[in-house]
Amino acid sequence: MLQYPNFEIIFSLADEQDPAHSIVTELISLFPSVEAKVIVSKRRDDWNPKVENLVASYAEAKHNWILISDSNVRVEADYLTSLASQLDANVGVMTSAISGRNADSLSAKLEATYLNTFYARWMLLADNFGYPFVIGKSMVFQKKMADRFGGLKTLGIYLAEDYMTGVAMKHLGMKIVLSRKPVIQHLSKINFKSFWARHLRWGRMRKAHAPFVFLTEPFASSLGSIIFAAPFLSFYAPGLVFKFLCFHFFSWGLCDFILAKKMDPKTNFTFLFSWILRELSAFPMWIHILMGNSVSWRGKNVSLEAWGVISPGRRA
Amino acid sequence: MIIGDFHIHSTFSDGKLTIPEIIDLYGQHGFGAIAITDHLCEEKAFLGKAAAYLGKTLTRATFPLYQEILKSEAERAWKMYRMLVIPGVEFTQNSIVNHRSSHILGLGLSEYISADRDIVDIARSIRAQGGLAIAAHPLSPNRMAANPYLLWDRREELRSEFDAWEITLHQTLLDDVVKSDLPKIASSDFHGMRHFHSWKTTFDCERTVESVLESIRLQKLDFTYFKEEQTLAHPITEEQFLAYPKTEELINWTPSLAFAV
Repeated sequence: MLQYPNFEIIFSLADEQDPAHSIVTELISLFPSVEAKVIVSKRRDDWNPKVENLVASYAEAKHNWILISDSNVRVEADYLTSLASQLDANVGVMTSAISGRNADSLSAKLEATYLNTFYARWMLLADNFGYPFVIGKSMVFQKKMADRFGGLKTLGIYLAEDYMTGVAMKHLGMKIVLSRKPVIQHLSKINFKSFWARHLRWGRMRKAHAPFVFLTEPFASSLGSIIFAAPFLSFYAPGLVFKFLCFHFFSWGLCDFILAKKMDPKTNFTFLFSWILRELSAFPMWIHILMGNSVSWRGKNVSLEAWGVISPGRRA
Repeated sequence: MIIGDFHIHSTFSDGKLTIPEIIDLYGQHGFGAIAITDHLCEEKAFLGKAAAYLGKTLTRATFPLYQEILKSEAERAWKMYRMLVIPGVEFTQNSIVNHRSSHILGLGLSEYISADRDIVDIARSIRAQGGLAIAAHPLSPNRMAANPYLLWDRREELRSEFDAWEITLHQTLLDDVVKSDLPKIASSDFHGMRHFHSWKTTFDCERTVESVLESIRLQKLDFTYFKEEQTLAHPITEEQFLAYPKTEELINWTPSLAFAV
C-alpha cells in the first residue's frame, strides 16, 4: 500500500477488452479506502498511442501533480513519499532512471544491462548538463504547467511525448529533475524480438530528437571509443597496445559494473557476460536505428517525420 | 498610448529568455503590445538544418508547442499586465551571400508556414492568415556582418507584398530605410537584455490585437527610443529623428523620444 496522505489513482486503458480491466476493477474493490477509477480512452490512429491512452485520464485528474507510471513499473510503499520529497514549485517534470531487475532470460539480462548501464549513464549525463532527457516510464509533472502548453493532447503528435514534455517545461522556465531513486522495472522473461524492437524505437526517437547526440553514441561504448586510441597507440607505442586494451576494457567494464550495481544491488559476476553482449550488440543496433524512421509500438506501426513527429495518416 | 515591440526572440530559437520571462519583463515595464517572433529557418537548406540541429530555430515539431505556450502566455499577459501578445515568426532564409538572405516577420500567425517557400509566397501566406508581413532589418550598419539584404535589393518589386519595413536594428537606426517612402516599424530584434533599450513603436489605438495590426497597416504609429527605466514616449520631429545619435552615442543617452510618421 502506498504511504502517502492524499492521492487518487487512475488506471488508463486503451480497450475495455484488455485483460487488465478485470484485474484493476477487482483491485479497486479490494481497497475501497483508496480513491481510484478506470478510464478507457478512445483511439486515434495518427496519435502517439500512449498519449491517446492517457489524454482522458489527464482531463479527469483532480490534483496538480500528476505521476504517469507504466504498468510494468514495480513500485515500493514509499514511492510517492520519495518522489514528493524531491519536488518543489519550480520543478516542471521529474523523471527517473529505470532499474531493470529480476531478469530470467538472456534477452531480459541484456535488457537489464542496457537499462542499468547505457541508459543510466546518459540520464546522469543529461541531468548534469541540463538536457531535458525525460523517460516517461515514471514521470511526475505539474498539471497547471502542462496546461500552459496545451496539456497532454498537444503531445499526441510526437512519438516521444516524454522528451517533449521536458522540452516544453524547459521553454516555460521550469526545472527538469532526475529522481535520486530509480524506478524498478520487473523484466522476468522477454524475448529477443521485443527487446530489439523496444530499443530500436527508443533509438529512433533519440535519432529524431537529438541527432547530434545520437551520432556520438557509437563512441560511448567500450568498443567504439577504442577506435580513437588504437591508431595512435599502434603507431607511437606498439608494445603497449595489448596492455592498454586490457586496461581500457577492464576500467570501462568496472565503471559499468559499479553503475549497474547502484541500479540493481543484486548485480553479480554474471553481469560480465551480458555486458560483453551489450557492447557487441551496440553497434549493430545503432546501424539498424540509423537505417529507418518507423517504429512498432503498442500494436501500431508508426512512421516518423523529422524531429519525432508522427506522420499524420501515414502508417508505416 | 501603447508602446510595442514586435521583434522578440525566446529560447525557442536563439533568444536568452523564455517566453514567460519575456512576458514578465515587458509587462512590468508597461508595454501594451509585443510580438514574439522566433526564427523559423528553411528545413531544406544547409544553414537551416544546422540551426535546427543546434536548437536555434523553431521546427515543424516545436511549432505547435510554441503556439500553445504563446496562447496561454497571452492570456496571462492580458490578465496580469493588460499587455497584448501577438504570435509571430521570423522566417529566416540565410545564405553565405548577404544579398541572397532574407528575414521576414509574420505577425498574427495561427498556422505553420514553411520557410522553404519563395519570399513572395511567404508574405502572401502570412497575409492570407490575416497577419502582417514585415521586412526584418533589411539593412545593417555593419556591412561586414552577415545580414539579409535580399528584401532591400528587391524593395520596389516587393513594396506591395509587405505591410512595413523595419527601420531599426537593436539600438541603430537604418537611415536609408528611414528616408525611404516605404511603410515603417521600429522594433528591437530582442535576443537578450542588451537589446531591451532600443527603438520601439507607439500607437494611439484601442488595446486589441486587431487595432494594433491595423494601425501598423495604416501606418498610424510613432517611434520611440526606450530606456529600461522609462516607459513613456514624447513626439519629436522627423528632423530630430534623423539627427538622432548612432549606436555608440546611445550608451549614455537617457530621454525617451518619438516622432510622428
